[in-house]
Amino acid sequence: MFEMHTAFAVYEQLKKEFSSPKADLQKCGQYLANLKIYLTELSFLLPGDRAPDAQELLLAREVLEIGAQWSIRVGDIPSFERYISQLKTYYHDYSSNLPASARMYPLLGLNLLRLLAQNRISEFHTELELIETDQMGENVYIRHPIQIEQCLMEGSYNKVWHSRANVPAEEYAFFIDILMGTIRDEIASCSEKAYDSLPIADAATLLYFKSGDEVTAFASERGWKVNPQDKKIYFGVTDADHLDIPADKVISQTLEYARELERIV
Amino acid sequence: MVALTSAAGVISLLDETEDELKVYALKKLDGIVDQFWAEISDAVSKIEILYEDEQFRYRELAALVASKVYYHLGEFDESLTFALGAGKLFDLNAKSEYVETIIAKCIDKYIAQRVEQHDNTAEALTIDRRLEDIVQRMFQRCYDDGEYKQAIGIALETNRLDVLEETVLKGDAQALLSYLLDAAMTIVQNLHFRNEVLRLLVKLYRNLPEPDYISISQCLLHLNDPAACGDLLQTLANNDETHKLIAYQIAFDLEENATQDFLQKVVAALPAAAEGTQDSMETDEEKQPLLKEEPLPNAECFNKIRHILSGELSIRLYLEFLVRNNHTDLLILKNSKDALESRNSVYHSAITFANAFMSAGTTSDEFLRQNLEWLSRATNWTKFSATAALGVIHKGQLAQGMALLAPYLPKEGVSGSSYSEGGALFAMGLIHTNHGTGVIEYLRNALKNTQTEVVQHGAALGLGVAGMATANDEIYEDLKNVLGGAGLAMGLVMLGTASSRAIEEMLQYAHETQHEKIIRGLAIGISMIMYGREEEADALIEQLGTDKDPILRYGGIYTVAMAYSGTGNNKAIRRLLHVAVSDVNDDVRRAAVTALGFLLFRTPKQVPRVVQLLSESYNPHVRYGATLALGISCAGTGLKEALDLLEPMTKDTVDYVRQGALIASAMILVQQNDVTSSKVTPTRKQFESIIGDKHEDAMAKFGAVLGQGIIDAGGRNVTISLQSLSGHANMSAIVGMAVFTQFWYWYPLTHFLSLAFTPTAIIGLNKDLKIPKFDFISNAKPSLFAYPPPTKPPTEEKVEKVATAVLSTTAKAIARAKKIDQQRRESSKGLEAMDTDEKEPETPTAKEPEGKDKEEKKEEGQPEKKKKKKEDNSEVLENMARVVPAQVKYIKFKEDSRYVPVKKASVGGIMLMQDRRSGEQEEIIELKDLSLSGAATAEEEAEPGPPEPFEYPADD
Repeated sequence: MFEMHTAFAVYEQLKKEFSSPKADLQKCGQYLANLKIYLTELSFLLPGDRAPDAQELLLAREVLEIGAQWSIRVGDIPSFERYISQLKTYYHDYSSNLPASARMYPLLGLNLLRLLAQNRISEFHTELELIETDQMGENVYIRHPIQIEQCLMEGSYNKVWHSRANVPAEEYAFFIDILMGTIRDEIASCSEKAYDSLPIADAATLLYFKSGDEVTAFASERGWKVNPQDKKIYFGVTDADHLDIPADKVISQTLEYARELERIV
Repeated sequence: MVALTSAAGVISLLDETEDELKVYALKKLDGIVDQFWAEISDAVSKIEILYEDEQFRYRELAALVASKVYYHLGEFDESLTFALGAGKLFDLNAKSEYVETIIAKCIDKYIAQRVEQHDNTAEALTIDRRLEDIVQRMFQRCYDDGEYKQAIGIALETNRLDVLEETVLKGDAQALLSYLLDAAMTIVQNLHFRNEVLRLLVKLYRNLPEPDYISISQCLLHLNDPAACGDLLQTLANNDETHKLIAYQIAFDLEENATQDFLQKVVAALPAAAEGTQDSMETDEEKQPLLKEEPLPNAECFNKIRHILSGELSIRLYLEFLVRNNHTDLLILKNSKDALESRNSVYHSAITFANAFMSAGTTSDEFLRQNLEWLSRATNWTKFSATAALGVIHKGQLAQGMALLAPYLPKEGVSGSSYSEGGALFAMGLIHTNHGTGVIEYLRNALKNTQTEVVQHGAALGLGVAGMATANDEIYEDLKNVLGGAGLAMGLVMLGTASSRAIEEMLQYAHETQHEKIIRGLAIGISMIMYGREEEADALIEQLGTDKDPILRYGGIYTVAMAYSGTGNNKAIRRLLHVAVSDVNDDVRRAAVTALGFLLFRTPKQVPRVVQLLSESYNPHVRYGATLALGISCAGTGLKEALDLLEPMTKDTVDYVRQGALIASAMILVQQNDVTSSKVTPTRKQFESIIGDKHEDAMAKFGAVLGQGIIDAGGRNVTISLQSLSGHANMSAIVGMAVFTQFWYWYPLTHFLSLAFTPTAIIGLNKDLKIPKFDFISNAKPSLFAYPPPTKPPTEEKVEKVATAVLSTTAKAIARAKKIDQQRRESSKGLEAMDTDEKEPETPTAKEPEGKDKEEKKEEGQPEKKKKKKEDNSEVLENMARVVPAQVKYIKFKEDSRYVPVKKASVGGIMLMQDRRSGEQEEIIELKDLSLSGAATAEEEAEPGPPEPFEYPADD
């Protein structure tokens, strides 16, 4: 039980540090790393030989939840992703052993948003399947990413843009920003196909940029040509790859077939 | 217990920076990988990176997890690589499917590498230490579990002689050695390695507390080491009585399986025989004391061994067996003869061959003598065949051959029919098949003294058969000088020698000549030279296979068949299958399919599967090949699958396919009866109906008649088998079969099938090489292996029917009708009538008295009456009884019997018996017709009596 006590002690420290207004995030990271190692000594994620102890499970869940939030704060998305996938074990598999967590839906919602932000739509839907139907309409944390997804699908990027104003929790804003980047990329790749050229001003509206400079910066990032004279962006023509008919191959194959046919038993 | 629904959480730990977490994740993953491999497979690259990280302490664990994931993904090679990386963590003893699979893969890979290493010794190929380690641990596991046979199997495949030796010493040596010998002969495909194994076997056998001399001799035979064989025999002969018996047994076994060349060398390795001993042996053993030299202490014993090795004794014994137990059913033949127009040379030949086969080795030429008029209709090559048939019938009658054939052999100053002269020379060869010592000189002279092509043909064939595998250069040269039809004979003489000179000369001539027949003879001859040489023949096979002359390609295929006969070599099979579907020449394709039969004769059960598709080919030649392949490989087995495949082909639209199917069916059903195979009766019926059908093609009828001959071959006392009882390839049988398949081009070659006939007898001998009387038990229902009942002359009922149709219904009328019929038939034999056959009882009775054993009579006479009684579960057989191959496993010797076989491992064939009550009087079965081979020639002359009537009138 020694590990348990140490783990608890560290956990308390972490909780205190993290919830203080001017949290030292680096220190929290340290705590988290240590805690996780302690946790591996206990029944972490997978029950070992013995039945999992509710207290241990609870502790593990708390740690992971803080970890997830901490990841958002430091802007470490892979880390967030990891915490979430570890948490899911506790949210789903251990749900019968543990009291429901208040932070569950906010975190799950965040995760959904993350998937949207990363344009992983199919995974988004997979995740959605795991959430109870009644929560989808009612729970504000869940409803939000669902609405955003609908807007995205409809192409009402405007609504997404405006939804930033009414996020259910402050962490959500982090992902909405990333999402805007994703949307912008989406629009940009559509524009490339749709237009040969576009006036810079129009492009700014289209891409939700406030100024022409932002557009030019973005354009150079994507390798578009900007003509300052006529204030237009020229998208490179990329239809270079012709479809060659592999004549030689087809001929030799056909001949081979003919010969084989002749030999067929 | 909480059930996990996803491994994503654990997997995510792999991305953590801390090693502890990664290790933890790996440990957990190792536990759940069987359930969540699909999820983990996405992260397998991360695990691989961990494994590749030299710094990471738990690399082996990572490797294990990765290995398991790849295993589940079906990527066994990857899985194996990682399993090797897992080192000790890979637990060989775990009984999971994963471990089993990986071990199997591991061994496979090891085998592949060892074989590669073995094949190109030039490049020293290094094998992964870890791989070797696992295999080593596997061996250890086999030892621990007592699975020695498994260890032997792996060791054989991995060419590990050291392990073989170790294993045999650890386990029950006797049993394991015989297993190893069997495995080495059937599984090991590399000739070189097999020889190494055999040498090891010899060593191990010698080191046994009771050395197994018989097995040693077998190994030495495989190793082609006659000198060592001679030594062995010598050692045994200088030992006590029991060892002498073993020496005799070995001599018999050698004689059965070895080539003439080998035997001669063995004899040479024995202590020099005193002058003239050989001759005195044959006639009278008592003469021995007359020798001038001081005889060696065991001179008598050596003389016996020499006598056995000369082969004369076993030939004599088998001849005795065949004569005693002759069950030929001439009525069948007679019916067929009557149904077929004898002026047609094809039909005439067919009956000739059928008769030759039925009576092969029985010395009974009754049919010929009953049908002299029919016989006299033979002309040209038919006459050649008919005369040669005498050779088949009297096969093995070494001493009397000359006397029997005298009327037909070419004589100084008398010009007879060249066809009968040639045939007689061929017959001489057949009588002396594979034991030509006494006749070769005569045949050589005959060959030199004639300019007639037909006679040359006969003499050449005779020389080929008699001088088979003697590697005698003089004969070869003689044959080369006439060359015309001698290609085949040259091949036979140089059989299995791989003589590059002979091959070169023959190939060169084959390229020069324009005569198709000569080329064909040479091509087949070339293939014979490579008999049994396996890999050594590859270059030649390749060369012939790419020749632009289809006949030489045909020869190339036969070279594959001969060189790899009985090996089941995969590479060779692949080559044949490829040619079978890709060559542009029908003959070559047919040959390629036929050749499959030669390769696979040790594993008949496989063959139906292999040729099934081919048997449905659109190309009739391929179908024909499939029939013969089935017939050759499954001969004598009665294998149902094979018969099922053949059945539709007996009704094929193409006549020669029907022919092949009929012949093949007969080969498969030889010595089978209704109890062992339900197809026997239908097949026999089919033969009859095809022969009787006026609209049937000649080709199919030929096949049916031949089938009748084959199914009842050798008086129903021989089987067709390409391997001997001890599992050796039976050289003369294989060669005979191969030449037989050439009857497609030339009918007289049909006679060669008789080389494949193997008498199925148990003949026990005592220490004086005499045949004592004793009984043994066959633990099977007598009916299971009984002779098929003889064809009944048409029964009363039938007679009535005929009678009603022809005449009135009264009994008197019937009798009268019969009488008239009879008379009519006697007066004009040409009468064509199946329905005049009623009067036939004389045939069966005529052969009835032929020394039948009691129980045979019982079987014959009583089945109907006894039907209600329950059949016994065993029967008592006497020495010299017929024991068909399938019956061998039921044979037991009574616990308290006086005679027990020296050879423990297997029964069958000629067996030396140890007499446990040696003091007592022995009851000896006298050789029945000793007169034939011995002193009293008067009686002999009366018996087969070279009958004048069927000597062909010169004007014919």
